[in-house]
This record gives sequence, C-alpha cells and structure tokens, in this order.
Amino acid sequence: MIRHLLKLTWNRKRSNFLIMLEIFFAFLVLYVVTTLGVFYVDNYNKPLGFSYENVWSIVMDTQQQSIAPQQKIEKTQQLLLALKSFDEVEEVGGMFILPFSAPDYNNNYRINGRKVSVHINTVTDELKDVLDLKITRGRWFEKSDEAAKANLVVINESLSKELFGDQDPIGKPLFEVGPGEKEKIVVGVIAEFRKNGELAPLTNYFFERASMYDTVNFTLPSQLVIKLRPGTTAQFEEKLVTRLQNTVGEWSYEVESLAEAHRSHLLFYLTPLIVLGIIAAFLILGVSLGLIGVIWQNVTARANEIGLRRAAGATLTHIFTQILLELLLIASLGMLLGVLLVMQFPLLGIIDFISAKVYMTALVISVVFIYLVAIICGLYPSWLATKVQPTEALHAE
Amino acid sequence: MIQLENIEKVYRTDTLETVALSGINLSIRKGEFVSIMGPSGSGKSTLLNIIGLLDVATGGKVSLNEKVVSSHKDRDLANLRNRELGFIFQKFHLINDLRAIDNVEIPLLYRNMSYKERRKMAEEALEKVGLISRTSHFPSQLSGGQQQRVAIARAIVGKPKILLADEPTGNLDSQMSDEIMNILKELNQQEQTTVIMVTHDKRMADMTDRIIRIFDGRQVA
Repeated sequence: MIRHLLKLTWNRKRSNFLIMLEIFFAFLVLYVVTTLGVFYVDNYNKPLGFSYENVWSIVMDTQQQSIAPQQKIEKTQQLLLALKSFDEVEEVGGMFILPFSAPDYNNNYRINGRKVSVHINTVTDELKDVLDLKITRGRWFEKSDEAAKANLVVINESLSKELFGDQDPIGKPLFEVGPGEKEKIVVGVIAEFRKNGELAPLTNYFFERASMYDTVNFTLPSQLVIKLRPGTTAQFEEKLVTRLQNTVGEWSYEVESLAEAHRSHLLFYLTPLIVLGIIAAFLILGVSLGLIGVIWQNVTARANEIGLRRAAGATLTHIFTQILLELLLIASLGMLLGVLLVMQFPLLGIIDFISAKVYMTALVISVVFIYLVAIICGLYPSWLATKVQPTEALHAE
Repeated sequence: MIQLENIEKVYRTDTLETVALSGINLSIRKGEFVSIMGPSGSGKSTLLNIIGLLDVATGGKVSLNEKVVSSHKDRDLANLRNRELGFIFQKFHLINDLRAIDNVEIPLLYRNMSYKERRKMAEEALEKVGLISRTSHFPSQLSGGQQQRVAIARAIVGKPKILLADEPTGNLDSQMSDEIMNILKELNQQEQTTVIMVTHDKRMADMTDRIIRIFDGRQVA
C-alpha cells in the first residue's frame, strides 16, 4: 500500500508542490530553532563551574588617559582595604574579564599541528573564594607565587583534556614558547569556568595570575568582584559606592550584581531563539492550514476515487489510513530535501562547536514534530473521507 | 447465487419520504448475464448498488451464496466486495495520476498480497482485455474504449464471481460499446462470471440472457 501511495503522491507532486515547499522551509526554520534549543539544553546540563550568587562586580574607571602603574597599585590597595572593612563583604578579588560580560579574550594556538582555541583571563588569588571555583587537581594561585619565575596558570578540565588527554597536567608547560618568552606552567585544574553562562558552549579556559604589585607587566585588574554575606540587600550598593568615592574620589565606579548580569546575559542568548521560535510557529501554522486545505480539497475532489476504493473492497479504516498516510508522504517529500541539506552540517562540521549529537537530536525532534503536525492536521479530513458515500461519489459528476 | 427478498429503499428527510425501490424480489443464478433496464430515476442504479453491497436496503433481505449479508458490518461487506464482486462504471472512475497497471491493481491492495503477485495478476487482467501493451499509460493517454477496458481489468483482477456494470457503454460509441460487450460476454461464457448490467440501450440489453425491467422503483418484468 505504501508503494502505491508513494506513486500516487509522487505523481501528484505538481499539485502538492506549494505545500511541499512550505513544509521544506518550515522544516528548515524549525530545525534551526530545535538545534539551538537542543544546543542550549545540552549546555545547560553541564556544570557552570562557579557561583555568582551574592557576588557583585565593580568596574573602576580611572577617568585618565594614562596613570602610573605604581599610582594605580596604591589606589587599588586603598580601595581593597576600604572594601574589606565592610562587614557585608566576605572576600574581594580582581579579574580582567567579568563573568556574563560581553568582552572576551581568546587566542588560537597551534599545538601538535592542531588549532586549539583558548579563552584567557587574568585573575587575583582571591577569585577562587569569591566565585567558589572547584579545584579538581593541583592548587589555585597563592601569595608565594609572586616569586615564581614562570607564568603560573590554572586551566579548566576541557583544556586539560584537549592538551594532555588522560595525563596529569600539573607542573607541565601549557605550550611550547618561543625564545625569551616566559613558560606557562600549569599549577592547577578547575572543573569548569563558563564565563558566558549555562547556555554557552564549553570552552578551553585558563587563568593567569594577576599580581597586585607587578609594575612591569602591569597585570593589576581593573574590575573587582566582591563576595557578599548572604542577606546583604541592594541598599548596600549606595553605601559601597559612597565609600569607594570617599577613598579614591577621582575614579568612577559601576556596581552590578552578577545575578543581574546573568539574567541579562541569558536574555542575550534566548532572544534569537525566541525570535526564531515565533517565526517557526507562524510557519508551522501556515503549513498546518495548508495541509488541512490540501487534504480537505483532496477529499472533496477525490470523492470518486474514495467511492471507487470502497467499491473495490477498502474498509473505512483503509480510507482513513490512506488519507493520513498520503499526508505523511507529502510531509516526507517536503522534508526530504531539507533532511539531506541539514545532514551536511555535522558531516562538514559547518558549526564546529555544535556536536553531531545535538544536530542529530534536533533532526529527529524536527522530523517527529512535522509528522505530528501532519497527523493532527490530517485527522479531521481523514475522518471526513470515511463519511464519503460511495453510491453518491460514484454517481457525482 | 444472488437472492433479493422484498427489497425496499426509502430516502427519508424531515418532511419528505421518497421511495426508490419497493417490493423487489430477484434471484440471479451463477453464470447468468442479466441486464436491468428502466427509465432514468426508476431505481436501476440503486438496485445495483444494493446488490453490490455499496448501499443498504431499508427493508428486505439480500443473500449472496445463500448467506444473508444485508446485516453484515462494514469490514465484512468490504471483504465481500473485494473478493466476490467487481464493479464497472459508466464514467470508468480511473485514477488519472496512476498508470493503467496501478489502476488495475487497486482491489488487490486490500488483500494480503506481495507487490510481485499483484503486478502479475494485474498484467494478466490487462492481457485479458487486450491492453497488455498499455500497462504504463496514464488514463489521459488512452481512448474512452481503452479506459473502459482498463476499468474492466480492474473489476476482474481479483477474479470475482460477480461483475456489476452500471451503464458500461454509456459513454462509448457503438463500435467501442460492442467491444466492451464482447469482453463481458467472454468473461460470462468462458469463466462463468455472473454479470449484472444496468443499461438504457435496448441493443445491449438484448445481448444478455435476461432483462429485468424497473419502473418507479418496482420490478415490472
């Protein structure tokens, strides 16, 4: 029967062309939305690697084109002392690139002939406690590292796996460096650090140590993060800024809770999904109406055929199934080109940070969804087809 | 083979009652070639539909092979239509988007048969009606007579014992009509297929074994 219906549907491809085209485009948009959705869900299920609750960021603006390193260190030390004097503040750390912020710093390294993309951040010793980073191997930075000859780094598990596989990376140089360059030695591994939040993909990450006293390389961060005691309210912000301005009045300060930044960043990721989802919903609605129209018209225009099939021995179930199967075949033909097209994505690795698993899951979901829509659209017209009276259908003009 | 007892067919609406058939008693033996004649609206086609189990009588009993079938459920009636009956219509009712052979195999789709078996039987049926060279033609590529021959092939493909023809030559010229009648006669004589044919054409009716005349829903001869 399927073969027979496939022939029938294929031979009617011209009259079904528009609806097939509509299904094709709806499938493509749905696939993009589903891929994005599955990608986000897949990312969401992985650990974030840090805690942002009760953490505020302070962006310091020196308001000057240039400032002597020594002067900046002194002023920053004054600010740190001021911050630590608050009962509400548990810990203060510094970092170059804040979690959930737009800026990012990444570099592509060629290691053993492979291109490895790595995200880098420079942070102070206190950051581990502020963001509650989980050390899985080795240790975090400490004050005694000030005297180290090499650049000490803490890497995440993703980078450790990428560069060292199952080997222990502790004490090993991160990359081979050129002459005159300082080696980067791994002192510790953290579980993860997903700076862009739960919806962003896992990235290779390493932290370099920022020295509060380095006047040569001037690694002192211009952003501070403070861990507040639980129960600290938003009113504390005013008190905080006042104290900072009283300490170093010529600088300006922008304070934001990381929880708020997290919410904004989530929206940044979800907006394209929402927009595409709305477009997909309208397309699916169009497809649904189109399918109902096509099948309804089919049932009406093909009353003779239905009557003939009944005369030839088709039961009511046969007729119902046939109409529904034809609808599924139209949907299949509409999706066929789309499926062939999207299968190329994982094969060619077009978007390398999306895994083949995500692509295939999205493909299955999209195909099943289109079939479900087709079945729902086909139920009523298929039922109508069973109401065709063969005696009337076979005598109708 | 076919027994109709006191068949009545009444179409009822809220305000109107139309009697299409009344008091029809009919017995058709195996291998008979019977024609049903009567003016338009006399109830010929309604009678044929009741015999063909496409319509249900409002009164009376229909028996096939000495079994009362008028009270059967849809599934059983469909099975009887599929195995025992073959239909030929004035307007052929071929599916334009299917090739001749695909049209012919339609009744076999409702049996548990492989594609190969279906194709073999469809080819045999087309050979019987002299259209084996036209298996891959679409209906639009065939003449009216050829289309009706394809329709006959479809009716006989499942080797039914009874052929029901509703004005099978009504849309054909006299030469083609004769061709179709010859095929029906051959099927009747060589394969002992019972043929019941509704016709307006006295010349065609005279070629059959018996003429049943219907007037105003009643059997008059």
